[in-house]
Formats: sequence, C-alpha cells, structure tokens
Amino acid sequence: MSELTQVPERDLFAVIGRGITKSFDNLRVLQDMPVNIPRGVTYCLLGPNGSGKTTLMRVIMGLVKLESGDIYILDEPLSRINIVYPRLGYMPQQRPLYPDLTVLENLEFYAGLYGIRGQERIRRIDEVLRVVDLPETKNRITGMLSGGMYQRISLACTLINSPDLLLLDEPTVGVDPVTKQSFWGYFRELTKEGKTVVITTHIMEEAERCDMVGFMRNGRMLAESSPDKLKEFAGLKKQLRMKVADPEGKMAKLVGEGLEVRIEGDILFVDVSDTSKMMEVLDQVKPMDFKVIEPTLESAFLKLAI
Amino acid sequence: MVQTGEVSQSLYRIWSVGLRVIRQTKRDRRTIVALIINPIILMLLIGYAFSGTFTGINLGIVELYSGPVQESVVNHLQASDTFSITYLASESEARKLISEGRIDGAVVLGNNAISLILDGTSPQVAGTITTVVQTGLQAAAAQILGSLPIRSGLPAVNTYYVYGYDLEVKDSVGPALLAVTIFFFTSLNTTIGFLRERLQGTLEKVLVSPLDRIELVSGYILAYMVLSTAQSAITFVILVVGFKVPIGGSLLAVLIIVLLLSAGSLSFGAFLSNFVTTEFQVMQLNPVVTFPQTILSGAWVPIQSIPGWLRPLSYIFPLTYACDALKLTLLKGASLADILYPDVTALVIFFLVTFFMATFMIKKEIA
Ligand SMILES: Nc1ncnc2c1ncn2[C@@H]1O[C@H](COP(=O)(O)OP(=O)(O)O)[C@@H](O)[C@H]1O
Ligand SMILES: [Mg+2]
Repeated sequence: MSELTQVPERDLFAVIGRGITKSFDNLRVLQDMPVNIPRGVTYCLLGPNGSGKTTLMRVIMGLVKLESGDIYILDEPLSRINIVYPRLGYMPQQRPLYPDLTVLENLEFYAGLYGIRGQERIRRIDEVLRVVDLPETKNRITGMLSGGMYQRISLACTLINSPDLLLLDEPTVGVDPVTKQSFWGYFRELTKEGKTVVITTHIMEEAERCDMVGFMRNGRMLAESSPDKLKEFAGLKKQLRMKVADPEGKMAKLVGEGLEVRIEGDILFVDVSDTSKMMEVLDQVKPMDFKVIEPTLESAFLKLAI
Repeated sequence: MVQTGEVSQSLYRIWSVGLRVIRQTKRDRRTIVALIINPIILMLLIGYAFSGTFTGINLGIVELYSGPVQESVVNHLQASDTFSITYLASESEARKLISEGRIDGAVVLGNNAISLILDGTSPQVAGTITTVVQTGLQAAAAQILGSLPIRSGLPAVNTYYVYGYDLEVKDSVGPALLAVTIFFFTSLNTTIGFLRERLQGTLEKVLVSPLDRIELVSGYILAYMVLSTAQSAITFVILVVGFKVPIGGSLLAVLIIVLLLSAGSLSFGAFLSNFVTTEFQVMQLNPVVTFPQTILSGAWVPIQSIPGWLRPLSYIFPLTYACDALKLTLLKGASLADILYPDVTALVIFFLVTFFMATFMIKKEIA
C-alpha cells in the first residue's frame, strides 16, 4: 500500500499528497510533488504562470487523471473523490457563471446541484449574498455586473453548499483593491469556521497573507510552510539599518564577531538572527538612528528559485 | 429507503440543469427568434417556391377525341396564362418531346380517358399541370351535370409520369422540414452550449459537484425536449393552418419521433463540442455534419432518386429515418406500430450511441 495509508494524522489535513506526477503529452507538468494542506487554514499555491498550480488543483479534484502518486482529500482517497464533491467548493480561473442568467438564477442552479431546495435554498442564497455584500444584485443579469461584482458572485456560488474545502484559482486577479481587501476578510471568516481555503496566485503579497504557502516552480514543490518559516528556510534574516558616527570602526568590530555586515556611507546593514541578537548589536553600536528591515517573501522566493 | 432518496436527488439535479438551460434559452432573444421564426420562414419559402404559380410552361395537347368535356379542358388550359400550348399529333410524339426537354408535359384527350404525360423530374410543373387539368374537368363536370340527367360520360383522368415519382412536394417537405429543423437547431445549439460551458469554466465547476456526466446530458435533453415540442407544435400549426396539409396518424407517434430525434441530435451536438474550441469553428463544422444529412435524408428528394452508391449514406443518417417516420405518420396516417421498424428502432439506436459518446467524451476530455 501507499505510504499515506500509514500517516496517523491524515485526517488533520484537508489535502495530503505524495509523489504527484502528471504529464500532458510529453510535457511534465507536475513532478513527484508532495502537498500538505492542514485543515482550517488559508493555503496559497504560489508560483509563476505555467508552474502547474491550476493543474495541481484539477488533479486534487479528480478533474485530471493522476499519472502516479497518492492523494487524500478530506480523508478520502482520490479514487473516492465522488463522495467528497458535496463538500468541495471550486472556483475555476474563468469565473464559472452563466452571464445570461440573473444572479439569483445562477445561485438557484448551483443550489440545485447540491440538492438544496425550498426554504433552505432561499436562506442559503441570502446568506452567501450577504457574505459577499451584494444582496441587492439578485435580479440583475450576471453578465452586466462589473468585474469585481462578477468575481464576488462567483465566490457566492462557490459558497452555496457551505463547502469544507474551497479551491479558488487566482481569486483576486483583475479585482479592484477594495474587493481584494474584502476577499481576504471572507477567507479569514471562513477559516474561523474551520473551513480550509486554498488559493493560487503568482503575487507575493497575496501569499504573505496566507497561513501556509506552497512554492511551486516548473511542476515542483520547492517548499511548503508558513511565510515566516519560509523566510527562515531560505536563510533570510532580519536586517538592522543603522546610522552611525564611525562606520568603518564599528563595522570591523561586528565582522570580527562573525556577523554579516554591509556599508553604505555612514549606514551599516547587519543581518540578525533573532531579537536578542538585535538588542545586543544595538547596545554595542549605539546608533544615532536605526530601522528593522523584515525580509520579504519575494527575496525568499528568489533565493529558493535559483 | 436510501435508493429512492438517491433517485429523487438525481432527478432534482437533472431538473436543475434542465431549468437552467430553458432559462438561458428564454433570455437569448436570438435563439428564441430562431426557434420560432426559422421553421416558419423555411416553410413559407419552400411552400411558395414549390407551389407557387408558374408561367411559360410548355404544354403539348393531343386531341384524339373532341367532346364537350375535352373542349372544356382545352378552353381551361388556353385561358390560363401559365401555359404556352403546342398541338401535337400523337402520344408518342408527346413522350418524345418530353424526353428531349422540348415540352414540360402533355395532355392527351381521348374518348374515355384524359391522360397526363408528365415530367417527374419537375414535380412542381407536373403538379401545376395536374391541377389545371383537374379544375378544367371539374368545370366540365359542373356543365354536364347541369345539362344531363345522369352522371355519365365523364372521362377518368389517368396520370403517367415519364420520370421520377409522384412527388407531393409541399406536402412531403413539411414533415421533413420539421425533422431537419429539430436536428439542425438542437445539435447546433448544444455544440455551442457545451463549448461555452467549457470556456466559461462552468463545466468544471459543475463536474466538481454531486452532478455526474449522465445527469448533465440528461438535463440538457430534458430542456430540449420542451423546446423541440414547442418547435414541433409551431411547425404543426403552420402545416395544418398555413398549408392545409392533411394530418392523419397518431400525434403520440409524432411526438415520440420528435423527442427521440431531439435527444439524439442533442447528444450528437454535445459530442461534437469536444472537437471545437471557438464558436467560429462550430459554424464551420456544423454544415459539414448537417448538410449531407439534410440532402440525403429524403427531405428534399426521395431516397429512390439518390444514386445507389450514395444511398448507404442515406441509410446511416438518422435524419432519414426521422423524415420517413414523420412523413408516414403525418401524411399517411401510420401508427406507432407501423413505424417501429426500421424508423423508431434506428432513432433509438442513434440516441443510445450518441448519448454514450457524449457522456464518454466529457469524461475523456477531463481525464
Ligand atoms: N490540458 C492541458 N493540455 C496540455 N497542456 C496543459 C494542459 N493544462 C495545462 N497544460 C500545461 O501545463 C503547464 C502548467 O499549466 P497550469 O497548471 O495552468 O499552470 P499555472 O496555473 O501555474 O499557470 C503549462 O505549461 C500548460 O501549458
Ligand atoms: Mg493557472
């Protein structure tokens, strides 16, 4: 049997996979990839275009046949994905709405697929429209809505069955900053309810807001962890930017202690591993002015991607 | 009872898809117009083109016997400006001239019979000649009945076709047109419908739900059953009210044929959608698939007049059986039992095969 049948805490993960491999024609799109998505978190698949994020999502939902590998979704093997479907909410990149129908008709259709009817349907529709702050659009033709509204209605349709696991492919692309902000609010709310939200993006700042990030490149999973841990993993440290009176002398002293130091005029940049080290350096140097520079996810990504 | 619960859930999902497709069609004004207007325009055009009045038909008259009836017919033919008349000596001369294409038909006036020698390759012309001779004969009959105490001495009209068959063009085109419209409309719309579902991402979203592929196609079929029934009803009214086509046969049989054809055409259209990526390609692919069927189905020309080497194609095309079945039921009063084999059987096979291909291909496309 596969290695995953042995994993004792398998049920703690919304999605857990090993050795995920997939080719289209002769192109290897996913190469021996692991994936670990804990329950109740926002998880971001981060990678440049064409790195295989969409394909991985489609594999997880059984839309693309797996070449080799082993995946469990909500504690069910991929072969039994059908019984998980009622608990999944998928939003493809294209925004899955029928533009010629009204918002209400779109929601009614998706509700129908999940067997939601009668009073419950009315209640659910009101609820998801309230979540995306668009209760007044009910009777508007969906295709006439603005881009941001269209996106929010797509999300509403994806929420109609109160899914335990949401898979949102580039949910914030082409969305205005205000809508984007509200999306992050929804995601937080959802995880508070114990739901798992998986998104894909190629934008660092988006990934930075998630609990977990999976770095993908050329069909490989480079790293999987929280943004902070990832920076550590990439060997990135906080930096102290200090304005000092005697830069050369101070620098020689710090280098002598084995610290990484860079100089620009009367300003010293020193890498520090933790807060106590930082205090130590500040005590010693006594700068006229200083600033702490947090490492960015981007620099971590650049470092890992090389 | 877990099972009945599952069945009702499944039916509810099919219903949801069907309702959605009908709502979409309702919104799409152009489709609605196409649904209602297309058969009307086609039928009116074809009806008039095939049964309109003619001028300049070259008609030969062979007067073997001259009596009051014969004279009345000749007067009638001369009075009509439809014909330019040539007087001929014998029936054989008439046949020869028709063969050579010099005249379009001839009326041979004998003592006991009036013979029409017609060119079956021009059914419209043949029909016009027949009609005028018959009205002449009726006029003569009215005169004779007025003057004679007994109904006698009225010659029988015998019609002989030199080529072809007795084509009741506008009559036979009506039912065939119904079949062609349903096939064309349903397959084209579903190909585009499924293509859009794929491009919009709704197909993927729908497949990541409790809805399975069979339910998806079934939902479409449900919607198009309603649409096709509406379209048939419209066509029906035009046939009966507009063209006074005598309707015999069982309406239930007609409905069954229409629904089978519609379900098959739909599955066929869904299957085709796997081979296109733009609506432009649909417009290019559709005629390739529908034109040969339409032409070879016996809708416009009888199967018997299609050359032997092409005829196997006719017998493969489902439209052939639908046209035949609709003609038989609508015009000749056939019952469902009469058309069970081969027509209904062929349509059932068509449906089963395309339904399998449609559902199988959706799966494959995703795999
Ligand atoms: N159905 C498919 N057939 C062939 N190639 C595909 C298919 N889907 C994706 N690919 C290829 O797989 C690679 C990864 O695509 P994708 O998963 O969409 O990347 P991302 O979502 O990260 O941009 C791309 O090179 C893409 O062209
Ligand atoms: Mg993508």
